[in-house]
Amino acid sequence: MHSVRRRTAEEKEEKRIAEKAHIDKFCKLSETVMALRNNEELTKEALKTAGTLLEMNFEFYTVWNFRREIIQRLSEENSDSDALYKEELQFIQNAIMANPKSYWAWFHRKWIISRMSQPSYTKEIFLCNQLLEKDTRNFHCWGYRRWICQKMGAGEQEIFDFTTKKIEHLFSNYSAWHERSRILSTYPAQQLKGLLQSELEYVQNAFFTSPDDQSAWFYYRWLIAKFIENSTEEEASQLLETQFEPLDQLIEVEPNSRWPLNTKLYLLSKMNGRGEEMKEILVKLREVDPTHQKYPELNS
Amino acid sequence: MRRARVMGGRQGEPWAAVDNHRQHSNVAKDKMEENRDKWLDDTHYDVILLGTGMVESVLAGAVARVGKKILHLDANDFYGFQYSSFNFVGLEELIESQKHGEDEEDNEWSVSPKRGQVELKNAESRLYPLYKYVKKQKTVEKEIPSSSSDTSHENTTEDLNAQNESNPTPVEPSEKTEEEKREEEPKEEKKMVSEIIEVEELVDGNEMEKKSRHFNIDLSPKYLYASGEEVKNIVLAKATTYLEYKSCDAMYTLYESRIQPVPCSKADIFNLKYASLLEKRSLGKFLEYVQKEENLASIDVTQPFLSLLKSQGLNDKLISIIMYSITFAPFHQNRETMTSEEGIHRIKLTVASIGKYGRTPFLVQMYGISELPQAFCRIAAVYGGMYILRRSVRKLLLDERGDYRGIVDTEGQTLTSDRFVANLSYFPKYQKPIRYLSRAVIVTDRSVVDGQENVILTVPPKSEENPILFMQNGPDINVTSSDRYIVHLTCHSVYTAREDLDGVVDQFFHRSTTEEPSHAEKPSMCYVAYFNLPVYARDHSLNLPGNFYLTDDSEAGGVGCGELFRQAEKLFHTFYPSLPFLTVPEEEEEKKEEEKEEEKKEEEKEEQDKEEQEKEER
Repeated sequence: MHSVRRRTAEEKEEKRIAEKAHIDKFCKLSETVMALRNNEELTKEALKTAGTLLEMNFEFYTVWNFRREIIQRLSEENSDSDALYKEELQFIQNAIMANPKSYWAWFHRKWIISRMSQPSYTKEIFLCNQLLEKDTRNFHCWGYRRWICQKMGAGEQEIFDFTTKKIEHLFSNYSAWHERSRILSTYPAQQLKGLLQSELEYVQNAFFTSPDDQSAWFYYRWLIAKFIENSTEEEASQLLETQFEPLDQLIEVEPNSRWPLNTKLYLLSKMNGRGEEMKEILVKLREVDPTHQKYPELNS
Repeated sequence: MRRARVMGGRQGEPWAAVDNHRQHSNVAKDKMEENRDKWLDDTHYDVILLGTGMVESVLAGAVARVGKKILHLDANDFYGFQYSSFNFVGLEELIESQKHGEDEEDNEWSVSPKRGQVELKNAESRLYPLYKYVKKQKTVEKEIPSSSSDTSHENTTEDLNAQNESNPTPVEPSEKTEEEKREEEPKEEKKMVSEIIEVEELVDGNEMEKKSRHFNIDLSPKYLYASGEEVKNIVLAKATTYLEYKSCDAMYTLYESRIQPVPCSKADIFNLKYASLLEKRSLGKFLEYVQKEENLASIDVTQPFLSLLKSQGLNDKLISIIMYSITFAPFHQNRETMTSEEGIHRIKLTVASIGKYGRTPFLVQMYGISELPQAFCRIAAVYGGMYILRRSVRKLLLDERGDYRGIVDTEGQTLTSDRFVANLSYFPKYQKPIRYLSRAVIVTDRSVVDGQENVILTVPPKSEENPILFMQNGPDINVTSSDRYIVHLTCHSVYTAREDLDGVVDQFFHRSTTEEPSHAEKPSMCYVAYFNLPVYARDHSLNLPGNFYLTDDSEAGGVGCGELFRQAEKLFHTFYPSLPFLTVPEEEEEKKEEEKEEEKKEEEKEEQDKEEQEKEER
C-alpha cells in the first residue's frame, strides 16, 4: 500500500483500546436490552435503548423483534399510534441508509407500513427511487417497491414505465430487465403477444450496442420462451424463423462473441430438425468460449 | 500593403528597432512628455506581456505565481482580447466603431494604434421587433343608461365575475376592481368595466438596451472539457475562487434537418432513435476500440483520421457523427489532414469528460468566457503583477545581436525585461495571411430545445462548406436577460459571416416582422449580429528575436481551450524549466499545513491538560 502511513505500535495500542471500549459498550448494552426483553419491559425507554444498540449493529435481528413487540404494545395502549410509526419509519430509514441490504430493516419497514392507517406510499416510492439511483440492483429495494406498488394499487403501466426509465439509464441493469419480465408475466396472454414485437426490437437495441452484456440476452430468451408457452406450434416456429436474420447479422460482425451464438443455439433447440446447424454452432462456441467446454451438453 | 509598409522601412537591417507605432518625431515627442505622469516607477521586469488573451493571461498568472515580476499591457480597454465578453450596448458600439473605422486603415497615422485591438470585419446587426400576445385586463368607461335597474346592474357585475373566473390570468391586480367600485357609487350613469383583451406587446431595441447589462456576449464562445487541460489547470491554480460553471445540458447534432442527440456512451447508443441495429454495433464497437490502448499500438496514428474511420467499416453517417459531434476537431482544424492520433485523443477527451460533472462533456462559463482570462490576470495581480489597459507598445528595443531587450510603450517610457510575450495580433510581420471566423450572435425568445438551457449542437457541412458550431446559453448562466436565450454560431469563414451563417439562422429561427406575429414552431429572433473575427496564425518560417515570444490562437473556432492552456504551459517551461506551472506555491501550502498541525497540537495539548486535570481531581 502506497502513501498510507504505517501505524506505530503506540497507535495500534490506542486503536485497540478505542475498539475495546466500543466492544465493552456493545456487550453491556446487549445484556441490558436482553434483560429488558426477558422482563417484558415494553416501554418507550426500552425502545430507545434498543435503538441505541441497533445503531451499533443493525444486523442484530433479535433486537428488531424486540422493537416489534414494544411497538405492538405501545400501539395498543395509545390511540394515536401513527406518530409512533412515523418515528419508526425514520429510524428504519437511517438503518437502510447505513446498510441498504439489511433483511431485518426491510422486513421491519413492511411490517410498520402494513400497520399504518394511512401510510404515504408516494414517500415510500420516492425513497425506493432514491436508493435505486445509488444502487441499481438492490433486490431488497426492488422487492419492497413492488410490494408498495401493489399496496397502493399502482397500474402495471407505471411499473413498466419505471423499468424503461431504469433500462434507458443503464441497460445492463439486470434487476430492471427482471422486473420488466415480472410485470409482463402478469399481463393477459393476448396483450403480451401484442407487445412482443416492440419488446423484441427494444432488447435487440441492447445486445447490438453491447453484445457481451448478459442481461439483455436473458431477457430476450425469456421473451421467446414466454411467447412459445402461450402460442401454437405453428405460431412459435413462425416467430423463431424471423429471429435468425438479426442474430446472423450480429454473428457476422461479432464472430467471436459467445452470446449471439449461444442464443442462436437456444432458438434452434426450440425447433425440430435443426440438429446439423446446432452441431456447427457447438463447434464454433467451443472455439470462442474455451472455458465452457461442457455447457453445450447442458443445453441439449 | 499595410504590412509591407510597417516592416518594409527597416528591411535589410537587423531589427534595430521595429517601429510599432509609426513614430513621427515631433508629435510623438510632445506626446511623450505629456504622458510622463503616467510613467511607471519600476522600469525592469522579469516578463512583459502584451495582450490579455487566453494564453497571455494564463501565462501571466503562472509567471507571477512563482514570484516573478510582470508587467501586462493591453491596447484595448477591456480584458480578454478575442475572448472578451460585451454587454449589449458594448457589442453594438464595437460593431458600430468597426463600420466607420474601415477607411482609416489606409491612413498611415491611425493604422498602428489599432494593432492588437479587436477588429471585426463585415460587422452588422439588426433588431427585430418581437410581438407577443399578452392577455391584459383593461378598464373601459361605458355609458350605462340612467334607466338601468338594479337587476341589470347586478347582471353586468356577474358577467364580469364570470369572465374573470373563466380566465385565471388577468395581468392587472385586483386593485382596479376596488377603484371601480368606488367610482361606481357616486356616478350611477357611468360605469367602469374591466375587460380582458388580447394585446400585442412589442419588444423592441429599447428593451435590449435597457437590459444591456444583463448580457455577456462572447466574441469567441468556448465550453470547457470537464477532463481537459483547461479544467485541470483551473483547479490546479485554484482559480475556482473567481470562477463559476454550470454543466452543459445537452449535446445535439443536425441530422436530416432534425435536431438529434449525440451518442457517446453505451446508454446513448442504446437509446438512439436514428441509427439501425448494425450502425449501433459499429459505433459501439469503434468507441470501445479506441478506448483500448492495445488496439492503438497496431494502428498508424499518423494516418489521416478520416482514413482510419473508413477502414473501420463506418458509414458516412457514423463518420459524420464521430468527426463533428464527438471529436469536435474539424471546428478548429482541417478535417482532411487531421491525424488519427488527434482524432483518438479527442474522442477519449470527450468520453472521459462525460459524467465528470454532468451528462455532457462540457462546462459552461458563467458570466461569459472573458471571466476565464480575467481570473488568471487577477491571480497575477494578487502575486504582484502590474496591469495597464489601453497601453501598448510603440517600439521594441533590440541589442546588437538582435535579441530583445526592452520596449518603448505608447506613453513613451522605456521599459526593459528579461522576456517579452505578445499576442500575435500585435506583430503582423509574423502572421500568415489572416483567416477569419464567421460569427453570428442571436438573441431569441425561447430555447431551441424545450426544457434545455445550455446546449451544444453541431451542424455538419452539406458539401464543401465548413461545419457550424451552435451554442445556446440560457439565462441561468447570467449571459442574457431573464426571458431571453442567446445563440452563438461559429464556423471558419468561406464568405462573409452573413453569407456563411444565414442558412442556419433561417433554419432554426423565425425572423419576426411587423406583419407576421411569432411562429409557434421555431423560436423568434429579436436580435442578430454578424461579424467576421480574424484568426491570427504564426508564420513559422520566420525566426523570432531572442527572448521574444508570440502566442497564437491555435484553437480558434473550436469548442474547448485546452490547447491554449498547453501553449501557456509550454512557454512557461521554456522560461522556467524547474518551476511548477500554476501550482499554488508550496510555501503557502506548507504554511497552511503547518497551521493545521499547530492547531492539532494545540488541541492535543488541551486534551492532555483536561486529562491531567481529571486525574488530579480524582
